[in-house]
Amino acid sequence: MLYFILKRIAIAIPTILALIVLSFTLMHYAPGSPFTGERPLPPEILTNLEAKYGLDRPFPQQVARYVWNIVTEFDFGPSYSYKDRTVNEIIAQGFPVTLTYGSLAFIVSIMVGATLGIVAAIHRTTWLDSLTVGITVGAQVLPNFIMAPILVLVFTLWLGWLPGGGWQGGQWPYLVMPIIALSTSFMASIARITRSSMIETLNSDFILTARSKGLPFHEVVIRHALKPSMLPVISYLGPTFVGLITGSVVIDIYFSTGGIGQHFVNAAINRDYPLIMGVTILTGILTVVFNLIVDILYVWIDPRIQY
Amino acid sequence: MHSTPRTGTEEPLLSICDLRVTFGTPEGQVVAVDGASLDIHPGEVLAVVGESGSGKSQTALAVTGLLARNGTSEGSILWKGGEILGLPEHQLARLRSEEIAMVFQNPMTCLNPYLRISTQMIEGMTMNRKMTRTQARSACIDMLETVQIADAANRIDRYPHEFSGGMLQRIMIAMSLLRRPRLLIADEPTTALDVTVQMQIVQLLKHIRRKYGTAIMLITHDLGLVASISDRISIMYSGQIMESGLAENVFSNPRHPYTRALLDAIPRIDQNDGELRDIAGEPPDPASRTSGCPFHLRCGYRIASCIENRPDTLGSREHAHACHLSNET
Repeated sequence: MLYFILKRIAIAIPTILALIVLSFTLMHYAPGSPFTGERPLPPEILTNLEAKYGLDRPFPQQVARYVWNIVTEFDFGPSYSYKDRTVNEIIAQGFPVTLTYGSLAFIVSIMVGATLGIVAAIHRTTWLDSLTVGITVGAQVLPNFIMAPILVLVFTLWLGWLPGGGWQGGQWPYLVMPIIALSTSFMASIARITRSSMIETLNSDFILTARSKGLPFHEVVIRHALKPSMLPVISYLGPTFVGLITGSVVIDIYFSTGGIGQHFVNAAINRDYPLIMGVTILTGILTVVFNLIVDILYVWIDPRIQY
Repeated sequence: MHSTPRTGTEEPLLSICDLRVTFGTPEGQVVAVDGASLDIHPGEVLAVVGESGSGKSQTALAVTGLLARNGTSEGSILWKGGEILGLPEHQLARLRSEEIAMVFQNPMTCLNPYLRISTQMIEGMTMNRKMTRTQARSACIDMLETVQIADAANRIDRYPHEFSGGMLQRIMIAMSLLRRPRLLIADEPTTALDVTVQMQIVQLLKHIRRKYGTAIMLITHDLGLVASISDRISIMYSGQIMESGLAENVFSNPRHPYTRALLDAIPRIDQNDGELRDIAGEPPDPASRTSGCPFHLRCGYRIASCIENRPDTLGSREHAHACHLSNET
């Protein structure tokens, strides 16, 4: 098992390096520059700025220097748009916020989604099943940039129960709406995946065997059907977690939560190369890590998988 | 213990009378079992023989209350004289756990691939009996040794995919016997297995009947398999019992044309003319039952009343059949 994990990490390193080089190249050749504002800068200032940030050097050298700084000092460089801050500082400030509500939304999606899916599958073809399917279809097609203003309208403006935005160190009233807005569609997807795989599992021969042993039905579901029917859900968890982090773009804008989501868009508009690279690499690492966790869970659940 | 068939006066263990199993499908009603009757006495081996789709498996599932959700059963199923058709689920579950065990066709898919053999064997015991895990575990190892799984103490913690099909079927049988059932329903227990392994499973079933006195309802389409083990045989076709009786009576003096056709279809090594005989035509579609005798479409001895009326079952427990032709002669 340890060998399997080490091997996967060894494969992940070149993946991330490739990601760095590719995104760096794409940005470099995209039109525009961090210093093209509404008023063109005088050429000598532009030359000075480019020299300061090393943009006057040949392209391969720029890439090499960037990778070198990350590998040796874990330094993602200075931000171009936030003049006095480094990318490391910006991420260190925003990422814990995103991670907090992202993880909570992740947990809520799984708990609520899996429960709804299992209930629907067990009560298949009854009104309960139809209701659950109806709700999940609705929730799945409702994007979070629609969900967020609706929540604000209802809970802040009409009912006055929750603050309309802000973070305040992550106190729970500030967490509720971001979590709901972020988790809804993932919750719905998980519910639908769970439902169909649970239905499939309940039709397996081994479920009939378990029932023929006289186990009560809820025992049959918990002991025999849960594990196999969660496998498709687990393979969906990697993309889900990454989707929650990138989905925080909308959340940060609507609820002023101050996570890193806002930087995905702003950094790109401002051509803040180091910040774009920072958030891209962060997302890349998260993807790799979560896919590794999913693979380990798979091996742990299904004894037939060899690693 | 029960080497001779019991056909005496004692009460039957299981008595199915005029059972009808139907399934509601989007295309309409499908009749899987159409008025079948049979009974099994303690310690007896009854073979229920028929083609696929003849309703033999659904009969078994109806007994244990395990029909698919869209299935309904009518008629009467008596267990030790008490009606069990329509019992609430928790009582049926107790019946399955304590009295009637089942073994299914495909051992490869009938064991949960995600759980160890030990987990799957022990769970049924610790739940319903006051038994510790340690006691249950050693009982399971003993039972695995009874069904000739070598090195059972170590192998019990393996997963199903680490065993061959024949071994898995023996494990399934061991698992079903743990609760010392009065009746074991074996639904095509050898169909998914190699021919050489099939005989081992039949030997095992014989051994079990001798050792524990368990009655066995052996569901199969293989008459050859049945010959060496069964006390009595019921021939099923299109949801109905065509002929039933003591094994030697059915084999030596088959009365129903369908039984004769089945016996003719068994390849015989001493009459090798290079041809395999089959029964012309197809079994009737369970979704559209015909009137009269269900076999009339394929029967070479058809007379007018076969098409119009369903034949009555005549005869005794030793030998009975449902055919107009032999009723008249």
